[in-house]
Amino acid sequence: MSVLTSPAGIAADTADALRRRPGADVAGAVFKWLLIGATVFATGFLAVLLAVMIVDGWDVLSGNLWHFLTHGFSQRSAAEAGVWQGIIGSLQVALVTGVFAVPIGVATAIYLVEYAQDSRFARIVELNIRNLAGVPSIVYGLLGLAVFVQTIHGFTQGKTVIAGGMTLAAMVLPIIVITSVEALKAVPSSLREAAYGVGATKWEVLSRQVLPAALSTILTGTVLALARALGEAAPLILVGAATGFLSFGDANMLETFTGPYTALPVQIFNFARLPGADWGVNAAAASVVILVLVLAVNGLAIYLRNRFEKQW
Amino acid sequence: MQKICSSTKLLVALLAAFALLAAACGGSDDDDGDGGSATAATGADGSSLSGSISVTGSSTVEPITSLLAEAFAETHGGVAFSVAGPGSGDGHKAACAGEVQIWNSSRQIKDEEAECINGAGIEFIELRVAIDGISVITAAGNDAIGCLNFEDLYSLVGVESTGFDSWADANSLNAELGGSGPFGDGALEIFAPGEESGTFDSFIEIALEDVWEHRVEAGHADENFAVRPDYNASANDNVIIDGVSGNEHSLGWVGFAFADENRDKVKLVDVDGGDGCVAPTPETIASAEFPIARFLYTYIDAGQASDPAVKAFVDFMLSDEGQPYVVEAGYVGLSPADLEQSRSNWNNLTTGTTF
Repeated sequence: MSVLTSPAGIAADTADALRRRPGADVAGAVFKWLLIGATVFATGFLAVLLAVMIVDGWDVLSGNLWHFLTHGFSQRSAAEAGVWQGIIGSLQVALVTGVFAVPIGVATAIYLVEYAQDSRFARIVELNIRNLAGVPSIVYGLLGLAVFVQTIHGFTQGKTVIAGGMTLAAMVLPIIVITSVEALKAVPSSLREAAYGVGATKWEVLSRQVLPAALSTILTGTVLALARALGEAAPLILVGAATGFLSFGDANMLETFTGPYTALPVQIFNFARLPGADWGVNAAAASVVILVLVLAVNGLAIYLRNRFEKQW
Repeated sequence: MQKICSSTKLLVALLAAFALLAAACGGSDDDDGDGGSATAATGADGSSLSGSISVTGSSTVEPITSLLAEAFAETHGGVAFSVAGPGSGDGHKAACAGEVQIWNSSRQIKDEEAECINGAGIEFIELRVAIDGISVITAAGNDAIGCLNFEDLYSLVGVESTGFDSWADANSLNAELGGSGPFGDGALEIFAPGEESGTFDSFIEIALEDVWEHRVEAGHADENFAVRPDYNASANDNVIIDGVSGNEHSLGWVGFAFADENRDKVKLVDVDGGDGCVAPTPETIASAEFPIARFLYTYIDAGQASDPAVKAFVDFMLSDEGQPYVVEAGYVGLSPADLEQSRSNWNNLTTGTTF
């Protein structure tokens, strides 16, 4: 190839490149199709999963959906059983999870990023939190049973919504801390410096500038963490979510938080293990219900991100 | 700054909305409860009972308790009720920790479990509630297998059969034990409950233990494990049924109710317990003629027996009105003598193991 010195040389090179174009970049084309293949596989896999659940659950989803959504569990027959208590239980547990996990998680992140900064202590804590995020959920179930159900029985009243919510809070806490840490680190230091420059105190810098700037990412991470909590069955079964018949008796709204409960994933587990094909239909239909619930929560996360997002 | 303030307001509004939603949902639970109470007020006994009952333990017994609780709640809507079925061992553990008033077990309580519960200052009342047969199953079209005895079962699924991939592999062990073999060739795929299951324990106790203990004494078998480790274990009975029906020469075991419901998919094998081959039917199980049958138990904390809600529920469970739910749950009703014993244990508050 000639050095680009003369107009004639440039013209010759351009003509050369044009001649070469069709079929010359084989590796690039192969790579592109591999990427397309991977994308099709990933989305296709989800589509098939969704299709199978909808087809399997169609008898309930098409004919019996209202009954299914508004009635509690019944052992008598699959047609009588519904997921109402599971939806309520999941929302109650998610509320308790949020109440415990969000303030603690965000506060931890603020301390690690804004106060402890790059100290050895902060690095060790952060490393441990990142490892905790990879601990299987069943381990948090065991923790919940030992600590929340038994040790602080006086506060949680045993196997209750509060104990279940606290268990899931412990599970999603690392996720909330990590996303919040990343969000705070992403706030440009120029913003902090500018605020300090005009004489703002640390409190003012944090509360007026840094936190509002990081809010959208923190919210997104938090809502996604709660969505994960919504889908967990294993830890809740350990901390006493009811798989069989459940009634709240004459407990009022507040009392149900310290009473027995169930959750959607636990109900799916229960439907799937009961004998008979019609229970399988319920399991598939309940899976669709939980998917819609989680999608709604994720949709909320996207909305919040768009609403609070700041461009730099 | 204006932008940030409105954002904060929106956030507060969203959180408030979520709290309200949860509160509204919680409120609906309350409505459900009131609905139940209203039913109770117009019910036959005009019950105004309240309180709470939580039952845990065996997943095998769970459907019986769920059906009973559901019927009970129709006339006693004020009682909060929760039924769970993590496993028999978990039930006894929860009792030992003082967490439950009533717990189920698909086997009789073990000595160490009873010691743990008594050690916690809790006396228990033991009731038999139903009979469950364990069925040995193979694929629906497998005509090669009609009847198996305990020696056959041990030579196919016992610890000494570890590594047998084909039925024919078991022939020399089967002959040594005096089983009914030899078996034909065919891939031996085994599907059965995992060791956390009460069905697993009961199958060992009833079908394998005698042969296994002989083999341990003779120095042939491992004294710690009765069952070969290399089988497909599942806590989900549907998975076992699917595995057995999907493999031509499969072998497995599940509770009778489950196998009976799936007769179109699996074949229920006759079992010879020493007195000839017996087919598993509701009749042969109730009479204990079928060799692999077990009793299902419910235990009650004697200290809670006077609790009005607990008392009303157990009374209902043992009444003539409550007994049909055992059959509805897919199990076999007790013989009159056993039912009488359970009632007498409850009425006299007899503690400890009595069966």
